[in-house]
Amino acid sequence: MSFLGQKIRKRFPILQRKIRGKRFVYLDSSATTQKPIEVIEEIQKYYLNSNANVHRGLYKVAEEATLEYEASRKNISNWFGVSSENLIFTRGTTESLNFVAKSWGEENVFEGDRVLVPISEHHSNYVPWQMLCEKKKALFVPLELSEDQKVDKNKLEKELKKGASILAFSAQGNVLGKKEDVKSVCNLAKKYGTVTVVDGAQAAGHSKINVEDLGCDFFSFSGHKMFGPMGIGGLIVSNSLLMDLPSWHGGGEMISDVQLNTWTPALPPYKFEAGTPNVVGAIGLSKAVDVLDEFVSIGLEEHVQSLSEYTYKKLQEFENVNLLSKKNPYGAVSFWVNSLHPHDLATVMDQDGIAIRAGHHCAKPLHNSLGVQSSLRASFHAYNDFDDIDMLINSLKGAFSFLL
Amino acid sequence: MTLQDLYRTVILDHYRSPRNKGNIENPDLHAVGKNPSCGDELEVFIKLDPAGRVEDVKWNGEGCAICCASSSIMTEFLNKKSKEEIYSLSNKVKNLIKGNFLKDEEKEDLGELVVLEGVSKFPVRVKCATLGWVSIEIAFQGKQEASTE
Repeated sequence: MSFLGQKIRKRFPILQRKIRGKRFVYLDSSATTQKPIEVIEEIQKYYLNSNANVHRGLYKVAEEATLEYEASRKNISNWFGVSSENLIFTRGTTESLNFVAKSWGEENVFEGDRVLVPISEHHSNYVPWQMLCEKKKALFVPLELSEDQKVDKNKLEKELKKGASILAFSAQGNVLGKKEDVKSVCNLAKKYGTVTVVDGAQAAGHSKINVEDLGCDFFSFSGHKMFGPMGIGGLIVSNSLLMDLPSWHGGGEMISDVQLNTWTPALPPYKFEAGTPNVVGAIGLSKAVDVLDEFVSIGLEEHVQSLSEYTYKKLQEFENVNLLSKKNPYGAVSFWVNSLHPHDLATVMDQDGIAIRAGHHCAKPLHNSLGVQSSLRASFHAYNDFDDIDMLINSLKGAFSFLL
Repeated sequence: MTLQDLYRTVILDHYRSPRNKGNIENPDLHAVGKNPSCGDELEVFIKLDPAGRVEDVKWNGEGCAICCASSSIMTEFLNKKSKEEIYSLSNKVKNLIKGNFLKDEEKEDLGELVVLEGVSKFPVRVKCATLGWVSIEIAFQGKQEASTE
């Protein structure tokens, strides 16, 4: 018996909405999670009471805004098991990964170097590395997956032996729903001196992750995939790389001194945060982390696992449905239907109030490797329950009888 | 118009039995159209007569029902038309699909193509319905690749 699902659904105001008179069934949490009332109220409270620019004003409200902002950084970094100075606020995973590619990558990757990326990565953990390799004339090496659709450690070790500057991979997949064994992959890479970049976009919203314990060099995440607002996220940098990591954007806030012809950077994390930061985003995300902490403590992972398994089993009962994941997906179940295009199915299901993703989910190389042009994806979170999945299955049956 | 109406009136008919689907050997014009957001891809092939009018047109590829049906319907309206006539028709159709205002006489020019108007009620599907037309325009411009974005 879960304490989540229907029991906490009323804390998410948007899920009370009706779509064409029907209950809104939201099955696209891999794209973004819905927001709990606590986070919405926290954002409102900031603008009603505390709005001022941070680290600048000497008046009461500015001081409050600065304190709240830094308290948020502390709370979020605590949640990830790291110190405040290791957490750089960014717009989200995509910006974090681009930052690593531009900042660390352009200083440390040279002509002929090799960059390893599994083919299952979504575009935000794929294209920045392709761009880096193009610019530095380095070699972009896509890694084929193992039988169980995860990082193939044998193939990986072969590639690591040849020498590689970077290994970039996801802790949890957005299409196949595979949880990676992050710690052992990082350990393997470390053995060969390869820097590890972990994309935590999907994983961060589902469990409590101790980033220091993972042993990666960089860890990126998006606030909006963990109940927080859009436009805030972070990059966690290991101590060994933090001090030497070059600044990225120039501007206010990131300097300790500016002279007529020279500038001196501030200390981390500020040297990476030019300009007025997303203060309300950080405050909203801090509250989101509290909510996530609560959900994790009452069985979020088990809840999502049982929803994923139930969906997988129900979809297997259809003869014309093909599942992309070979077995046991977590969080996201992707599938395609013989002779029916995902867009047509998603449009029909939308008529029943069901929000489901159709397309390649920003993972084109993976779809190509599976020989599938596009697919449908149902993804789950704390507020989903078996009633949502029954709605999905019924709607799918209706769509078949209409379209076939 | 409901979704059921849209699909029932025309889309499913053309989707299930597409017209002019296939390739043309040695076409005078050829283009590949792509819809980057969903990965849909289709090709168009055109054979011209000595006066530069469409003598034969075919389309091929995989896509959703709306994309395939719209391309199938399109090929039924291009015969013997010149480049300028096709551009003018294509513009009207794209406006129709996007839900932009069309004068009554413009709508009359479209004939049976007005069935595509229903797509404008489903904004996320507009790109599906325009892909065939965008590809034809690109083929006439002598380019090889078209994209809806």
